[in-house]
Amino acid sequence: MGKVKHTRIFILACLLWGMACLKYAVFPEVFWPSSCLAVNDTSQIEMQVPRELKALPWEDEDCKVWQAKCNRFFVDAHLQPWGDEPVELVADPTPPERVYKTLARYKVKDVVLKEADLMAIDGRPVWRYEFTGQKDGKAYEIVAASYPIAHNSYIVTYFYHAGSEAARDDVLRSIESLRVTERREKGGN
Amino acid sequence: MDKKRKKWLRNIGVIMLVLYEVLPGNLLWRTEVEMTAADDFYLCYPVEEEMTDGRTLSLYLPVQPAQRQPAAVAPYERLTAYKAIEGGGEIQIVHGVLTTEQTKVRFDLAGFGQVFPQVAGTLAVQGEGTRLVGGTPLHILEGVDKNERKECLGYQAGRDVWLFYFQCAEDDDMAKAMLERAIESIAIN
Repeated sequence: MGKVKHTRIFILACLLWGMACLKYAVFPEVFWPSSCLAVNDTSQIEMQVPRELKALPWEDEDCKVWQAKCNRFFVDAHLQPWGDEPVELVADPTPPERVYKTLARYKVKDVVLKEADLMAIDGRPVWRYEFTGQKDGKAYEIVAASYPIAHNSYIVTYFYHAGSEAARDDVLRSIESLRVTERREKGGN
Repeated sequence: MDKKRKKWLRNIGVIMLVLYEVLPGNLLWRTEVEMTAADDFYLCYPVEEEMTDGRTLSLYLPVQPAQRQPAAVAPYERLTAYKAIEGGGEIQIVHGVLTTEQTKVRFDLAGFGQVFPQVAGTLAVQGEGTRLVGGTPLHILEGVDKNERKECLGYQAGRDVWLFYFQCAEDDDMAKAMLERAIESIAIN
């Protein structure tokens, strides 16, 4: 051991740190901020997206809406309240009506469902749907995730250009970052 | 350069390469199509009404409007109204069917003020103009009232008359852009 090994470890650590800084400066979307979306007074959903999600000042049919346009994709989050009954996950792979409504709201046409997958994120079952569609004459791929939480359904929809593998990787990374956490401050997003 | 130094440089090079490739967000070997300003994502609520000549006037609003059927007053035999007030913005649309085609509706400040009391009084008119929609001019009048941007639009095709009122805060660029999109989306099919 001795002095030489410690020096090497120190240099390696400096290198790692330097690379991370460099990468952050050159590729600012590497380290994604967490967006906190309030569900109720006690809980919130945290998800990582390259740009922080901003709440719309109005609701879409009783749903709170958040949006962010990132370099590789656009993301929309709808929090749909279900009243007094707790939301239970359905075994049916048919996408909820809300997903199709959101696609219609963004004027996506010729929507085709390609895949429906039940996955576990943070110990919770989540349906992930993959679609293709056309918007303003351009082909898009759309990934939607339906996340039941308390008396709400949280539906997050990602839009990216068809064939963009990097965007798809980002989208899957974002979906897997979904977490339900205790709400720290009231009144924000 | 001694052997030891060469070995170190090689190791540093390998580490840099591995970090560059492995850290998320930099996927050099993946197909990437970035989002551009042309990838315009905003929520749209369609409003469509058939006119007496069989054509349909349509536009997309940024918020869900409430529809009602006010009692008809002369010179109209039928009225339909849409209203949305959200996030400091306001949209009102009135579709009236005249009893006779010979009646010509005034699309000036005084005329709009009779239908929308919000523009009667302190509105400082900044611009007036027309654009053709379905071969017929759509009259546009815009102005500022204190800190509010207000736009009135009028359209007459035979017995059908459309009156539009859009209002948002003068310093709210997002709301202004949304209202402009709504105005641009007015079309006759």
